[in-house]
Amino acid sequence: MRDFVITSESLTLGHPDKLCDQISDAVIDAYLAEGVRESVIAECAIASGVAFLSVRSPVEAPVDLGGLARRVLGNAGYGGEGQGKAPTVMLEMSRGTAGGGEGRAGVETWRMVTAFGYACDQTANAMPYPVALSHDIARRLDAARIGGRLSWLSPDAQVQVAARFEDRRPVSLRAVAVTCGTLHPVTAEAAQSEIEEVVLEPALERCTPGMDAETRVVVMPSDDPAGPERHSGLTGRKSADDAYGSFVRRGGPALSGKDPSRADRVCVYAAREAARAIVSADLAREAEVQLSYIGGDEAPASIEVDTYGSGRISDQKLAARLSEVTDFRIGAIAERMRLWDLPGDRGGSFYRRLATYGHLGRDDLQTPWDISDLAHRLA
Amino acid sequence: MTQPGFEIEVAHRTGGGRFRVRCPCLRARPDAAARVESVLQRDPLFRAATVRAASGSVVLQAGPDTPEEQVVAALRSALTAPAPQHRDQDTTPDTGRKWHLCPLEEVVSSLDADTEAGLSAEAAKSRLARHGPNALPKAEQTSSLALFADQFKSLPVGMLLVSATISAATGGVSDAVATVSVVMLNAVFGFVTEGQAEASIHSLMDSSRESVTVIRDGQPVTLRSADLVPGDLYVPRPGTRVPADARLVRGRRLKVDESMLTGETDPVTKDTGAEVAEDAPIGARTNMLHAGTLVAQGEGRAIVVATGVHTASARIAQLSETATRPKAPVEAELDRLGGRLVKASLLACGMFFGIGWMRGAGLAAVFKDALALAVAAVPEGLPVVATTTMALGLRRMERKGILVRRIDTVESMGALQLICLDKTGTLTRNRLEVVETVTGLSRDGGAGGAAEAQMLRVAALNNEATPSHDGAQGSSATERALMNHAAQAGIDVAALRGERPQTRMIERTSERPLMITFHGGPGPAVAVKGAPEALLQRCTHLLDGDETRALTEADRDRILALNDELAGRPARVLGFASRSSAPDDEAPEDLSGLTWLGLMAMVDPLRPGARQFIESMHVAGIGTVMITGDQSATAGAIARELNLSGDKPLRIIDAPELSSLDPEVLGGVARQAHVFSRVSAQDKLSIVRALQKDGSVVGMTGDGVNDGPALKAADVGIAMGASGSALARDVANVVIRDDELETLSDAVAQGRAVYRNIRRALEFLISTNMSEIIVGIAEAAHGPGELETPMELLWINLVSDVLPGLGLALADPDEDVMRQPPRARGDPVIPPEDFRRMSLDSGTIAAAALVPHFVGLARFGPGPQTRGMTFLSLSLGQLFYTLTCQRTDVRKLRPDRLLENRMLDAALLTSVGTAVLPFFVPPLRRLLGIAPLNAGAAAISLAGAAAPAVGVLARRGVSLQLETVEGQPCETS
Repeated sequence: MRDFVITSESLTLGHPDKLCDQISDAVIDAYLAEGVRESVIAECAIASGVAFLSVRSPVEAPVDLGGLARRVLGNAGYGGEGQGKAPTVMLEMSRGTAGGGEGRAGVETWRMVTAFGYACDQTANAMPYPVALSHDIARRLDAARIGGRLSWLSPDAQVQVAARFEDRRPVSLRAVAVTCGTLHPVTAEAAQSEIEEVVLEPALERCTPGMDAETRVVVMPSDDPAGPERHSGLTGRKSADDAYGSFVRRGGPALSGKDPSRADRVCVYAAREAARAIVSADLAREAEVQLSYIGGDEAPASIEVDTYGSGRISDQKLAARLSEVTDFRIGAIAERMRLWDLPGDRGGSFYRRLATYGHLGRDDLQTPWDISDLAHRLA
Repeated sequence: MTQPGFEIEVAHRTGGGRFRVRCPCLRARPDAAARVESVLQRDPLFRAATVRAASGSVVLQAGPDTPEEQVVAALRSALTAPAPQHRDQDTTPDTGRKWHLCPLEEVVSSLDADTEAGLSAEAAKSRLARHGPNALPKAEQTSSLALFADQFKSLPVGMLLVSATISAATGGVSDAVATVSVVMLNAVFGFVTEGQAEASIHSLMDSSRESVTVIRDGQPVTLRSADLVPGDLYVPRPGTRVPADARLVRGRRLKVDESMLTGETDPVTKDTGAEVAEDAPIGARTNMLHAGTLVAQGEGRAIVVATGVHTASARIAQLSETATRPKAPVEAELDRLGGRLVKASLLACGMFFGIGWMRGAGLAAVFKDALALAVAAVPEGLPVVATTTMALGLRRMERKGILVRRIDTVESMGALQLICLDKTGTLTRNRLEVVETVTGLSRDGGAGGAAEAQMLRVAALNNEATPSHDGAQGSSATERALMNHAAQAGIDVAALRGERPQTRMIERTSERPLMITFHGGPGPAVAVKGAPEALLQRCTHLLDGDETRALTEADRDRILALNDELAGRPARVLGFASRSSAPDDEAPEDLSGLTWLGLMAMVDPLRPGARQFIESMHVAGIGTVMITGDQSATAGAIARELNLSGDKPLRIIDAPELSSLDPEVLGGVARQAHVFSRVSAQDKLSIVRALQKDGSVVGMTGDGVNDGPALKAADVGIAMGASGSALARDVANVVIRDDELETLSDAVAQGRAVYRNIRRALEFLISTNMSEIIVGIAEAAHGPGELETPMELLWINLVSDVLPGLGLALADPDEDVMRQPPRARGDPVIPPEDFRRMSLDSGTIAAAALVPHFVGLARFGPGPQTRGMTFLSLSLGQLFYTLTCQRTDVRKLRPDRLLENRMLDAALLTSVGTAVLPFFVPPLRRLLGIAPLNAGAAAISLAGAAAPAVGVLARRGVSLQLETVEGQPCETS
């Protein structure tokens, strides 16, 4: 039997690493929404309350990047109206292609990429239970703070979940830990009882496995508001949280801050689409899809499927089916999913929303890799 | 916490009666500071009083003859006095009084003013006597005496004076007189040059002669702005400067450009009716007119509430005074060098004294000889050469339109490592210009045609500027730009406006960003311009080419897309429309059914030479930083156009609240930035300070009142003279009179040349004086009675120091001056490798002079003849050697161009004449203690004199050959 405990985490809007991801993706949104179809790379770091934003693109910035970064920070609760001083943004803007261009249909790739996609029947959005629960709690924390139900809670919090698996199925929730900044002093006990009442109980109400007698709940409020004034952040440092929460293999590169010409972003979405299609089409209970690209080829060098023995047909056959019904060429993926156009279509904000609560399993955002007709074609 | 006592310490006072006093008990106690300040401001003893809680210091302006004790006593009583309860009716208006909050009636009654007839002539006269003229006191105008005394404050001068005193005491009256003469000569020289610089600066800065119109005894009177008094009924006139702070009594369409105070370039509407919040910043006090701002349009009446130092802009000026200017690099270095020279000469004297004492000579004789050496050691030319080089550089800059306020700034200018450029006004002209007009539906096709002609006419008619023969006047930059554009396109604006008189105008508001005018005469009755989107909503037709047709949805989208394209240039875009008939029933505000004409895009264009200027700065190794209030996208586009970052990625610091950033963090990142965007004027000071953190020499350009603190804190504060505000010119230490960037680049080249020249002159002076010390010690060590007399050495120094030093200092900039990196602050004025050359050269000169000395000894024995031979070879040797000092690096010497510097040639000719003069004038001969020479002796001495220069040229040949052997190309420039 394969029994193990696994942990996953999620961060709220105001965590510096997530702020960096949001700023980077907000830049991508802005460029794409303005009709830019050239490569754009945005990377962000935050330290001492100063945001350092480096943008690399052959085109002139079509928007006020400093103001954009401040809007993201203000939206997360830092330096907006009535939130103290406006943060300083240091911009670095370099010309030249960001090494991309390969995402346009018909353009060859030079980057070697191995991307993993995964889906399973553990939750409604086909994500592994621990990371899905973490994101849910993080989202509820933000909602409770914005709604004024947890007035002492700062925008910067971290949620960790530990779950026990038997035979690769979650059987019990072992622990939930919330580490958070505080706007005004609160005792650990008070913080714990409030968070349990306002956030954890509603979150776990309809969740299986839910809380049981063994579940350990820890709430650790810090003495300060945490956030970008207190600790630093960097784009792409939370790539496990963005994907499957360490439940399966993953590639290292960050997702945020890259335009759709970047294979290392696009292929992660394509692999998830394929994996989810397999599970949705009821061909397996869980599936991991591995797409590997070698420099010089536009199509993947290999498509590998692993259903951990849960497949109705063999993994090789599944892989073959996939390559039959799907075009895995990088340009084709971006085209099919309308990755260049989505920010414009969605009122200027698409990638930025992916930068919190995970890029995958975002049925709420109608992401084309999660809401896809591939399952029908596969069945 | 213990209560600190009321300690008072006068830190500084000027001749003008300005006191700076330390009161530790006020430090970090803003409440107490405010209370003491208000008490002091009511004290008739002081014209102005500022208390700073941050530093615990009090700055007081009293009468020039006020005794210190009286000031201290007044301050002591203020410290213990309770807070004043009521304002005394008959004292100077409180500087901090919130005039914008008082009801108008209270303003009128408290100032005893009259909103119709104004003051009476007598009342005005007595008020003028009480409040003083409406002018800012000249900031730290150095008195003549202080300037003269400053000339004696250097160490070499001190040593000379000591040596003169000792001479006088030991009976050498003629020596003492000669020495003191040299010192006085130096002092007068320095005094005259510096004094002239001060005078020329002040002549530029006096703005108190501007005239203003006020109502007195019910009649409009024009008077000097200096004669304005509180309570005067002031009449604002478009295009003139507001002379004092005034509370608006009534106004009609009054708009004021307050950019010099607030940085906001759009004129602000002034209105009596508007509610002003208690904490409204200066820019939002719409019922006040502030001194230094510019009336853009409209008319009105206002009661003067504060004049002179009590105005808001003067208070900002006082803020400027808290920022201190760091010491100019060469000042510190000359101090250090002077100290070293004194030590070296004391050491030489000590050695000499020891030798004499061991030989058992009489103490008096030994002392006299030691004195001779001390005189030899001190380079008399040093202070005067440094001062004069800078003063002459200053004069040369002045001829090129660069006014330099402080003499040492010339040199700081050359050491400039980083220059902060205010975008508006420095890189641009702060003048809008129409750069593109678009009619119809495309950017290229629509030129000419009825639409274009109609749009130009609308632009000329729907305009608040006034046409004149040299372009549009008054109103805002936008209006002027539009009118000028129409005129350039061939429209006779004045004639058109006469033919189509404006019958009515509806101003734009924030809800309805359109300006609508109605006109009589032939043609469309309604002209409208404004924000394209809002205007387009009211349009139903489109004038496309020559025909008018209905506007479709597709047309609207296309026009808005065109607008976005133009706005993205980036530019300010306005739309134009007209309507043939005036509305009769509908409310004019809801006017619609307009015909769309087109768009005009305006930019504040970069100055023609801006890009080249940036490049020349980069080639010269000077970092450039642009400071702008624009948002980052606009700033980035301009930075690219200027190529501010060279081939590196462009770095922008975008900060609406820069001053709230931790200075350490700002210091860390500021040096990396090419652009500071969205910066308010107040933050410029933080930027300058951050850039100075690592010891860089930082320059800063500015033109507004609010640039004052940053200009003052910068090592080189540069004001644009033609367009800048008086305050900016006041605090800046460099004023570029013609506003041209090329002039600024020239100023840097001149500054560098000055420094190089000072260095060469110094190296020359030190080498030659070292050679005299070597000769002196060798002679003293060799035998008694051989040493030259003090007067001989002073004469040599006089002929071989001042004039040749000055000649070297007058050289033109080297050809490669703007291709070299700036020197680092803290670099010694003479680098160690130069000391090697200087030792070698001084050894050569000494050896070449000692040969005739020993020949003379052998033939004549110690005495006037031998001294004469040594004197001749030593003095002429130094003069010939001067020619080889024209390049720091011997390899760059060009034998064929040794005589290129005419000033140096003349100086040398004069000096050679002076050097040989004593041989022909018996009294001088006796003073120096030398005798005439026969032909043979003279020949030997002249050979000795030629040797050092020949030696240097030979060395140049060798080192060039060596380089050729090593296969390295060499520069011969």
